[in-house]
Amino acid sequence: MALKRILSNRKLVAGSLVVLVLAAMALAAPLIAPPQGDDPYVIPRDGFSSTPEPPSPGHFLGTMQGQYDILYGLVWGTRVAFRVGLTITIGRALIGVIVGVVSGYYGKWSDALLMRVTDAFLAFPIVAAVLVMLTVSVDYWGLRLGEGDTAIVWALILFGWMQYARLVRGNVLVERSSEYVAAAVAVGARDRRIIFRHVLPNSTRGLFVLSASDVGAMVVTVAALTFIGLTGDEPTADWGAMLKYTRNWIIAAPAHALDFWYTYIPASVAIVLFSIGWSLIGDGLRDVFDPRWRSLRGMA
Amino acid sequence: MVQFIVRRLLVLPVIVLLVTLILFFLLYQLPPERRAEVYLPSMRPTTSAEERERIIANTIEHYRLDEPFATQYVTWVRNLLAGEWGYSPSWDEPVLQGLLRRAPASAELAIAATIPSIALAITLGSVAARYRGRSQDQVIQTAAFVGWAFPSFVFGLMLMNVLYAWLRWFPPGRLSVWASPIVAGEGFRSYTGMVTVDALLNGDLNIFWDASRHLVLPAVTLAVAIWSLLTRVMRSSLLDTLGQDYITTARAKGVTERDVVNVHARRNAILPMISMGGVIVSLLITGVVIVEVLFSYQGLGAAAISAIMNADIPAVVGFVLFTSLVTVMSSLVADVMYAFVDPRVRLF
Repeated sequence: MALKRILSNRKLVAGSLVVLVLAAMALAAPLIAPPQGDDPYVIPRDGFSSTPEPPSPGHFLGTMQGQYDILYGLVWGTRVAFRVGLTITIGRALIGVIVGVVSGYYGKWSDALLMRVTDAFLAFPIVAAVLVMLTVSVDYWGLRLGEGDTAIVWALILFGWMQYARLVRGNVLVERSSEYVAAAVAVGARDRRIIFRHVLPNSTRGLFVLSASDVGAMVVTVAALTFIGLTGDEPTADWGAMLKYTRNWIIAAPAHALDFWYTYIPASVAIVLFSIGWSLIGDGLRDVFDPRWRSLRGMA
Repeated sequence: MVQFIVRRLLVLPVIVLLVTLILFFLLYQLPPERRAEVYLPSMRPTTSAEERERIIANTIEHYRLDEPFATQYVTWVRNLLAGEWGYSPSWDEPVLQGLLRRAPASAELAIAATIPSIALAITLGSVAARYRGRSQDQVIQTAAFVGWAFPSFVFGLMLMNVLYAWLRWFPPGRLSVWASPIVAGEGFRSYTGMVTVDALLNGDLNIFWDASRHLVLPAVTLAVAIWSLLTRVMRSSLLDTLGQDYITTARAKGVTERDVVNVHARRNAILPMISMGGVIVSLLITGVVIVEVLFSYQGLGAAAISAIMNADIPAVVGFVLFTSLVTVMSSLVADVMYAFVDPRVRLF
């Protein structure tokens, strides 16, 4: 029944297909684009000419300034995207679930305190959180500016769990006042057992919808922050870094403005597909599992 | 009403306290020599490197930067309240002054993006809800989905490639080369710091036209995401409202469907949009920073990014504090406005 509903949801099917294709590309990276050095995330270069070269048999998607192979960066960048998106989302969800459960289950002063803390974290715009984490991360000052990636991931986790916490707290509040929990309390079950066996498994409503759309959104955010210069200057196999590296060719002189489209379109398409794929999954999951939306669809 | 606002105002200091605590806790992880920069007086350092080291050592001693967390935190907050936000070496001016001087440019961009987005979201969201499931609804829903899922900065890159680099319609930056001296000059009075508004107040239509042309691309890039989000909110909220009993009553009285939506339902459906004020401002701040760098628009965001590139801690800390206070204040304003238009909220 559930499977049939999932398969009949066009958004969910389309989104899953896009994400699966990208995942296949990430897994097959060593086959599609064999690494040439020790570090597979360093894009191999073919010469030192500063003018990008259009697609050719040797470089299917062409090269960027400095003859860095675009296809290579695109393929290995897919791995980076999945790693970054999933790490941030899982980190956010973990913190959010812990805060939400403690807040909703224990209530009283711990709830009041945790919810004010949640409000306080919500006060930091994403970019402010990232700037703080960049400022205080020791690696950042010890090494070059280029080591900012880790700090950005941490910033997005530590300042991004609030929606999850509010969601889980709301769910836990409902479950806690249900009769089966009262029954569990009555037979003398401990808090730990009630939380892990009863409340938590029933409090995941909406969690996967939020997580799915977050994976795409986080990759976009990291790419945007990379693009504006918060990480290194080298064109590593990372979609945001590739766009940043090729920025000058996007605003070339009018006569040649469109000549270098191949330097930025591939990485742009990759980011767009990744983002839209996960958003489709998120929307689709909501349609399938949220009865309110389902009935609206049925009425339409 | 008054009671609700007072209660809401009482939470404000708690949130601000927590915000500053979180920020200071993170800063506290830095060695004292680095943190000392935040405490330097708001004036231009005219000294040599050795002199600077001595000053830093003095600052550490004076502000007891090797003392426990609580003592340091209190000193820091006391400084902030006195308007001492430190001196920014990369901006070459006091941090607070630098923030306030650049804020209007960013606000101008944010407003230029938000007002059309809100208007368009209300109209198109209403159309989508009224024609639910029909072709109008499907087109608007698809547009809103794509607008939300499509990465703004990639969209901005494409706009820049085609509309600036190729066609030369809309230039990046904030003003053309010929216009900047006029705006900075004697004859042009700065009332708000927003060039388009000031140009109109000065009666200089050439400047207004030039500034507007520069605003178009960054504002459109920012507006897409805001519009998509608000359109989705507006559509689902209007759908909820249209299911209410009083709407059925209106229809039963024979009110036309157009009036049902425009007169009876829409006003109530706008409420959820107001409650999103804080979220929107927070999104806008991040969006403005990215868009400013993308289009070389000289505002607060671009200045913050150049500050971090120069390891300018006082400016970065000032920016973070400033933007988070703006976010806190806007969610407060949103809550109060919500209570003002929706009497039910006041009961809680």
